[in-house]
Amino acid sequence: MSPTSADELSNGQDGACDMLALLPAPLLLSSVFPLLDAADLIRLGSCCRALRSAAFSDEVWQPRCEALGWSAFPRGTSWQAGFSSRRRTLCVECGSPSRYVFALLGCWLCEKCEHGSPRYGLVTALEAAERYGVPYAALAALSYHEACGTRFYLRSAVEAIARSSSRGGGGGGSGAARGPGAVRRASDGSEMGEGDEEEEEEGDDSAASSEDGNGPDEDESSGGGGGGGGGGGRPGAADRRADDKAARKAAKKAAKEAQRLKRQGRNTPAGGGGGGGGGGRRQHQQQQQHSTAGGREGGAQPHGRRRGGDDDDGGGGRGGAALPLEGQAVALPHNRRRAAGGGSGSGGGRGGGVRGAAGKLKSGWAAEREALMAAWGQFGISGLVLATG
Amino acid sequence: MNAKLTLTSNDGQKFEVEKEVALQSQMIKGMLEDIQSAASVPLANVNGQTLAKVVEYCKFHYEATKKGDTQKTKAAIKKWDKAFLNVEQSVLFDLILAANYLHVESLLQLTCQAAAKLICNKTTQEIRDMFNIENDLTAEDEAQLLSEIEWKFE
Repeated sequence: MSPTSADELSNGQDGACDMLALLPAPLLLSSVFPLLDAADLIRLGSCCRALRSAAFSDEVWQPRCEALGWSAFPRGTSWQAGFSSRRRTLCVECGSPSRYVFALLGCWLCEKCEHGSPRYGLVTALEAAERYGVPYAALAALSYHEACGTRFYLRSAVEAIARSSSRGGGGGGSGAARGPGAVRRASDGSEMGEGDEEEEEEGDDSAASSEDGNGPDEDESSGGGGGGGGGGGRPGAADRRADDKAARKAAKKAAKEAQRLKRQGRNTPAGGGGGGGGGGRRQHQQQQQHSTAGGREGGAQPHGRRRGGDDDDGGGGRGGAALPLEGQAVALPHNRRRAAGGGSGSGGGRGGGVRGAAGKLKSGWAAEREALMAAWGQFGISGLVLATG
Repeated sequence: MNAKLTLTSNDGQKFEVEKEVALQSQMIKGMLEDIQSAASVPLANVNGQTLAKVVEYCKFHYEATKKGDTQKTKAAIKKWDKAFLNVEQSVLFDLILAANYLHVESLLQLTCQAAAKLICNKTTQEIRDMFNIENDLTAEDEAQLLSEIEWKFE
């Protein structure tokens, strides 16, 4: 039987009220209640007092508990209360025993159900910005689950924000580069956005940024240029998204690196974290890695390094290695920067070169996941935590 | 064996049915066991409209069971039942009461399932609206009651 709308309309007219009370309680108990599942029963019982006394009676719940093998509740608890308290410690979806609680929602959940239902989807802040166009500021209001040093937000909550803000999520389609610090939705291509950033940063440094750039700042900006150049070749939105993830990671590394440099007594400005585009970041990361090695050697032979930097602009990966050690080559900042001017111009080529050189760098997602797994020995992201008690 | 039986509703409507058909009601069956010769059964708790539906149901199922238990008839019965239940809520509940009173087990099951279907997957407020139930619970009561299903997401 289907409750047609006509049924419901006529219900008001024919003056029949309190339909369920028309059924005597014994009939409800014997024939209707056994057909309802527990949640429906409780909702029904919450309608009015008469229904409450019927729907919450032991007569209804005892068979249910016994069918599940649940018994021996503390004295004084009704079968219904016992049922609810017991049920609460089982996976909310499938009702099977679970050791985990889904932290964000505070409910018990098993691994299988977590991955089986979109309700428990998680997003990182970057993904929220990238796919849903939710600015970081808006995420502040959300509760998050912190795992592996990353904050995970409930996907549904992020989606709700995205819906409520009139922009509507452009999704991964827009390639605009957004850094973790400042999310911006460049209306036209990513290149433009990155270009802006580059300029800003260059302005700060009051010198043309270069791949030789000292410290993380300049690095960042030149990285942005590289990303822009390299990005042109990769059309896929997914690709770009992945890149951004990698970029974010790279940015983190970069920040760490920057801190390290600082600690070593560098006077490099540490700001620039907000900056570059996806590809740029990635490249940046590489540069950072290289730079650690290169820097040491650079300290000994600053001139050679400078030359290396110049070569770079023309031709690729090696230059990256020589780059960012300005900190160590304290004596020669000016020269470097000038060399850098050329560098930023040829960023695209360089970006490609570096990427090619370091083939081991994987793109986006996979790399991040793998890194997480390596670090934490867990697969994927999960909002589950071991239940206490 | 084709004796007729007259069922009389509480508003005086008479339904003449074959005895076999009427025997699906355990209540009538019991009554006939007591009074073998009875040719008329007054049913004080069932009105004419409802009794008509019940008789319709019993007739159909009597014919259907006579035909045998094949896949095809089963499907046909299911279909017929569905159409049969396409009635207003008040009729449905009358049917439940009548089925309960007359002890027509299959009809009772069928109608109760339909009623359960009406209730399931609805919020408390929806249920109230649907059945015109007046909420006489306090807000605290309600919150407390609903907390009993906090393990279940709406």
